Amino acid sequence: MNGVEILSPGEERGGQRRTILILAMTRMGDLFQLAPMVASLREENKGCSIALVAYREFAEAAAGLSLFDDLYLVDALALRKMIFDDTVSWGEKIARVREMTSDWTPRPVDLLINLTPNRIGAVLGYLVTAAEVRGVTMTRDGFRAFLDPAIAYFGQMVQNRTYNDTNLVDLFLRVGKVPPPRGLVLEGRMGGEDSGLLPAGRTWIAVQTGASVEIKRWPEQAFVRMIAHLLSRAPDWGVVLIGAGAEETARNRRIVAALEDRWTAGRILNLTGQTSVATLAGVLKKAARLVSNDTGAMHVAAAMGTPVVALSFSNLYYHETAPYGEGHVVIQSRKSCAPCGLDAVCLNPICREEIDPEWLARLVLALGSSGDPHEKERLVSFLAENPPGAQLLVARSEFDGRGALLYRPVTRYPMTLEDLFRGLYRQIWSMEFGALPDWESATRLFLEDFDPSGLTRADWEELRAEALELGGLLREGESLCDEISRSLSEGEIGEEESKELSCTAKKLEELDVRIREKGWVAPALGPVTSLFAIEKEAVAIDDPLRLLEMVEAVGQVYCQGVLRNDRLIRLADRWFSSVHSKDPRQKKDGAGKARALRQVAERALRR
Amino acid sequence: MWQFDENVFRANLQAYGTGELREALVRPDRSRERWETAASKEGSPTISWDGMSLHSRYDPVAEGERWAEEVVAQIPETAPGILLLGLGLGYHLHALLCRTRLPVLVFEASPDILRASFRLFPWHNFGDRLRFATDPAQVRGQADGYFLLSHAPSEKVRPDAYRSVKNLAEGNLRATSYSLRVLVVSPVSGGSYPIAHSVVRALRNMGHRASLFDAGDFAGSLRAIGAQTRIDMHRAQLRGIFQNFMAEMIMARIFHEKPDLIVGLAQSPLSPEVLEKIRSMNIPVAYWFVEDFRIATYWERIAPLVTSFAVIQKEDWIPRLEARGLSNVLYLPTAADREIFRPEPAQGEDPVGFSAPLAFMGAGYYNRQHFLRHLVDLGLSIWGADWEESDPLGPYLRSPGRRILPEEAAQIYRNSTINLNLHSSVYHRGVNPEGDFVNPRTFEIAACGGFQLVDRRSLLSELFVPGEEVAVFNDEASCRKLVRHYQSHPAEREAMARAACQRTLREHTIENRMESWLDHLFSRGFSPKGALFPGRQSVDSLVATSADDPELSGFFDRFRCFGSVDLEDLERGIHPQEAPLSETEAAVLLLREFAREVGA
Repeated sequence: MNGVEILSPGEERGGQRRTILILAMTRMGDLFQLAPMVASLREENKGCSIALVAYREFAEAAAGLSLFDDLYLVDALALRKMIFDDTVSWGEKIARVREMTSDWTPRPVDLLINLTPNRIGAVLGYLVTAAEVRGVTMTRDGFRAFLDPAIAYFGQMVQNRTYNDTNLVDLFLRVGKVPPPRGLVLEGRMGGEDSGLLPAGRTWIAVQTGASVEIKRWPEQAFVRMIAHLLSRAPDWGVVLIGAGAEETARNRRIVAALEDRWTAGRILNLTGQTSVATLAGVLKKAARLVSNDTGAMHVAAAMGTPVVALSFSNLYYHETAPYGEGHVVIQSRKSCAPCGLDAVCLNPICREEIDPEWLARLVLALGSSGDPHEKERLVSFLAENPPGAQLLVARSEFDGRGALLYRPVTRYPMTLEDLFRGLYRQIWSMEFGALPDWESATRLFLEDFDPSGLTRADWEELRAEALELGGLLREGESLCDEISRSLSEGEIGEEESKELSCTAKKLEELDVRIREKGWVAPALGPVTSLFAIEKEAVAIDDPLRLLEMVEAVGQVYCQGVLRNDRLIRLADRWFSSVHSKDPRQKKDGAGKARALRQVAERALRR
Repeated sequence: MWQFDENVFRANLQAYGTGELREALVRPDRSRERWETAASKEGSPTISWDGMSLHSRYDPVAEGERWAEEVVAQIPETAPGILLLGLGLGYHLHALLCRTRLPVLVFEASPDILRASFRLFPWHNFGDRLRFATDPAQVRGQADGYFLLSHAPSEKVRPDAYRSVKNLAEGNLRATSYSLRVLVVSPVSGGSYPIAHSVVRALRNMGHRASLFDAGDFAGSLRAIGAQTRIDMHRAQLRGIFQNFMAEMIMARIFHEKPDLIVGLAQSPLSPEVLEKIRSMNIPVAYWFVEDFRIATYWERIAPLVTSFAVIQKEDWIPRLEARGLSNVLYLPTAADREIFRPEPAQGEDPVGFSAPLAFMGAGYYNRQHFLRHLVDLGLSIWGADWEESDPLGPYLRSPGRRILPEEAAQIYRNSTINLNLHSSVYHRGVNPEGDFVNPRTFEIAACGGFQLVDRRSLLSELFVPGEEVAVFNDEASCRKLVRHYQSHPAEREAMARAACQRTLREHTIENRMESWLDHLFSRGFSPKGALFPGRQSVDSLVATSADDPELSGFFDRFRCFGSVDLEDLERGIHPQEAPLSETEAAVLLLREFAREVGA
């Protein structure tokens, strides 16, 4: 061609690679959950260089992913120890921190993706010079700012968890503005190193008995019973115990000791503490399935294409953290306290008691080996014959029409307002992220997953009144901002006008308090009110001479809140006005009941 | 002739509006009631603060020229620059800048005045040669070797505002050079309880990091103890246990706050045992004994254990204290909290409900119950605690049974024609002829711009001029005479009230007292010793050890006035909104966040 340089995606003019820095000072599970985003970034930006900043304690996990060209590790444990060491001067402490960040802050990058949703992330992000920033950053006035709708969404998600069904992987994909990766995330990068740890000739089920805290673990004895049942019913299956750390090693030794007098024929393999992340990936790749508490191992298995049965307890919420991919099964309590709040200190974790170990063993058996195309049907059939009970949810993952992950209940549960609104918000967030509304699919999913008969319009009416009030408050805010904008645009502000503006500003403050309270009084409106608060905080204009601009930006936030709230009301109205008449199952049930009654009446008449 | 011009303000803002100065320039006026502008005879505006003009009312331009002519001759040839204290509207500064090429740094304590001047003179024409500061910390290190000039009217009207900068410039390390961590311990209740709150406010206004151990939070518990039993021995035991509990609370608070100084008020739960412990930790305690030493005798156990013992009585007592070997005594009369007691009406003021032709605001002590009967035909109204409706004075009670809040008392003082101030006595039937100390009410009424009749006290005349600032009575008859006189002479009343108000705002605020007290402490060798606490390190040592790193040492240097710093102090010294974060500041914020993660 005539001297025109054709660039591949991700390649900068002049042949320089696109540089991407990801700040993820998060837990190990989150690191694995961002792996699909990173894999997709590589697919979309061929030849790019991607670096990661993460905590040193997860170095092995991060390195094992083999997705990053550079790893910058922050030794938080050493830092915290140093902070409280009075033998080290503040000057020395500061110098060490500066040194720590000097590896990666001086070099400008093309794209910074900051997934660390706290002030640590905000400060670190502030230090990086990037042509484009997605995610969290710090404003000049020292507060966080969410410059990304996806991160703002993440902020409200934490406060309104039960109204969210977006998996963190999908959230990170949105932050990265990339589609789901086309291939298995870690295929070809990990998993070739199991070193023959799993003997051939058996179907191996991997079991992870550990979790970061005790309350998130299924009890040890439950695992013992589950494994015992599993092995007694499947003669050619074996169980491999995985994990790391002294506590898990000790626990799994006890589990083996409890079982090995019955199965000494090599059917229980204990690899706890013996695998690197890469080896673990290889083991999991070879395993037929992983049964696990909600831990990082789940994500490694999912990344290797191994189906998971995940046990979700305590404050873990499967929609957020369950494995990414199709065909994973998650089991979570439906007790009213589950999942508990992130700040709850539970002294009676009854959420763990609902799962009967024998039942779980039979479920795993019913699922069979991985790759079985009839797995879903077998699961449905198993649950029909061995129902989990009203207090237990079994859900299975699939991708919806837009390619987003969704965990759907395998058995049909009575629909609650929470279930309904979770689905409605899913529609709303999809629309806000650019997708077209798909009410038909949404309705179909609702009706397949839930029995709406117990939820009537009356249940909605009270909430509707609150939603209308909320809409009123948001409109009032928008109007007050308009009023302020008009005054500021008119030029010089005299003393009288200044007093009026102060009054209006005070009214706005009071309004915001009422908006916040609305989210408390009517939790179903929480996502709207929380997102409003986050978006308002993110108006990053602090220069008094740009007051007009700031007021207009704030007005936009109120306007967005109005739109969002209106959309919610419309969707809910639509559901309640249309679904009861359209529910084929209810029609069928209704017709069947009517027929049965007629038959009884006819028989009575004949007597 | 000069005139105010918004375009001039904008151009000045453009030139000088960065960092803290910008914030000072764009925020609304906060002391508007204290100053006003007026046209001089010449036509240019002049400005007055608390009624005192900062420039000539005739020809401020000429006055400025004369001043500049005189001072320019005094500037040494070797001076690298000029530090000017006090801006006013700026006539003197403008004249000075037209006569010298030296750089000039101007310190003006009042952002309101700064803004007014910025509307008048086009300072931007002088470019980088001219700089402004509103915070003493901004002057530190910026005017080394500069020749010091003062705008005398500014200094005279607000001496406290310029003293610290002067000290900085002259290299004197004084109390005002430091930002101390001060823990103020209040009593559970009583007259000195509001004083404790006022002390905290005043110290904060002076730039110190003050916090309050509010023993008032436990008032209910103490009352409940009294209600459990009538057996005195048990009550005493329970109160003893309560006192021990309070002592533990205070110690826990000390370890949390790590103060440079503890200020205790009379009746606070700083028992001798607690004071001994605090003394062993080498933390100085300044104790303000705002009581009558003849009646409250616990001072005998307290005074020897504190670093500084401030008292409100003099001749009879200080010699006695000194005779016991106590050299830590300071005469420190009470004062007015100008945040509450001010002449301007408050929001929601009730000028009808809280006013009277003759108002008395105070508790129903023995002498008042007798004295006030002599005034019932003069439009008397009474507010305060410990008055009974069944008393003979019952019909004159305006809010029987209700404790009046300080803010409400301020309304009474502002709106009443005459405020009667009779010092309490538990055994005199009227005026105590031996009365010495002056009560807080004397200053509070004056600070509100209220006219007061006060009983004769031996220490009154050195605080207010009788007959010019306050009217003084000796007994019932003289009081009646004065009430009648001043009820029918409003001009005299207003003049005296105004004079008393101005004097109070100048000399008798809680800030004045705290400044005197801290100056006294520093003059006796006190300095912050906080480095004894974990996590705190000496600023001088930090600056010295980071001398190789200009960014780091410059960062630590901004904390010189703290003496010692911990991580919280370092974080508070960072203002991201003023300038992009440096690497050092970002490192501090990161350290702080990591510390927060473990709850520190």
